[in-house]
Amino acid sequence: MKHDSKTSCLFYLGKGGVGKSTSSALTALHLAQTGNDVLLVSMDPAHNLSDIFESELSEKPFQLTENLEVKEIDISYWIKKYLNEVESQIRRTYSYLSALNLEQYFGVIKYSPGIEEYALLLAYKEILNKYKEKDYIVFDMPPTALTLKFFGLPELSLLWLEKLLDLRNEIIKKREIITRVKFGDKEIERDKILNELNQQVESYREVKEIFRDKAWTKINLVMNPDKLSFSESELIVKKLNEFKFGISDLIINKYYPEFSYSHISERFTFRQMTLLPGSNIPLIGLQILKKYLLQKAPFENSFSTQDEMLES
Amino acid sequence: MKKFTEKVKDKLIKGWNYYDSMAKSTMVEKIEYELGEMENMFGLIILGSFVGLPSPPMNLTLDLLPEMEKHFILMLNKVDTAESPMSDLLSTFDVI
Repeated sequence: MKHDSKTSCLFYLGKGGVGKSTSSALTALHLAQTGNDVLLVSMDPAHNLSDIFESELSEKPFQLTENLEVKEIDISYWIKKYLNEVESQIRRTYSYLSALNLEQYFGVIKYSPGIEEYALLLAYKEILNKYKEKDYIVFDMPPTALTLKFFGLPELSLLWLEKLLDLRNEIIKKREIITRVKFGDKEIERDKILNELNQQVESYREVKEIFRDKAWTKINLVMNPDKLSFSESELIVKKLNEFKFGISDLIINKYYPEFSYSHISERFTFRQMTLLPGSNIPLIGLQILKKYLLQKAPFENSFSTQDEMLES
Repeated sequence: MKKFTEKVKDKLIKGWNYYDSMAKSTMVEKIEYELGEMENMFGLIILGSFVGLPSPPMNLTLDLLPEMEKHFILMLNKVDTAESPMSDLLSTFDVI
């Protein structure tokens, strides 16, 4: 998949409670107010966006303002959808008796580790295909552990797939030798498992490329001006660097002027910093968010780390 | 004389074919055994989570599962006979 669409995906991640949902909501609203067509998606099972916008959100996009649509991802819906697809595919390809015994396994699989992040990945891929015309898709991400697994899944799956492909090719080579000796030049049936493995490799490579394409994917880290969220942010950056992802925007939520942020750029790299000053009233409701943006204008004052270095 | 040489030639060819098929069948048997073991390994790697072994991410297992009926049944049968290796051995030799 080439980056032929104009869409940019912004991911908001950080420690629980630092204000990922508020930051993503403010960003989406700001982008929509400045004339962009925006979709805001809650990937967090806690779904704070419903409370922030005081609206009932669901899988169906809700038109919040003229340029802004909001939707929530229901992970259990995606897990169920995926398992149903696999099950019906099995019923098509397996003989009647072996398919009959599968139900007991599928009942347990929905609780297996790894299924949640895959469900998120499926939802993400569908959004990417369905909303190609949007200027921005803003993702409010789940807590750190699930988010890191989500970003790491394509890389991890590819590692496994490469090894499985090697083994499968070895099996096919052996099978070809046997067929040639026994039946001469008879045509060998194509290996369905090899086909499936190749398709999987292609699909994960595609997602991996999208994640690494800086024009397409921007990972924004939210933190508070306190030690705990800084430590977890450091951990997140370290883990993301292992997958070769960088931080685009570092957002300091509930910022107060006495807080010195100079030490942050010494510990990890990011391209831009945005300061969201604390608010006296809770940022709940569309009108309050709009008022906050008007009064504080945080995004107009975002600065790149290079600007800061020049100033100093 | 010509008949005699023809006869010798035929015998030699037959002898060679016999030797060739013997060698080939031994070779094929060995490769087939190796192939069977490799298929078992492949099945166990992917479907290991069904029998409590560490396995690749569940999505890979599930996406490959529709094409792996043979491996799946074989692995479940192996688990069934794992606790009684003697009966497994006897059934292999078709004793009872």
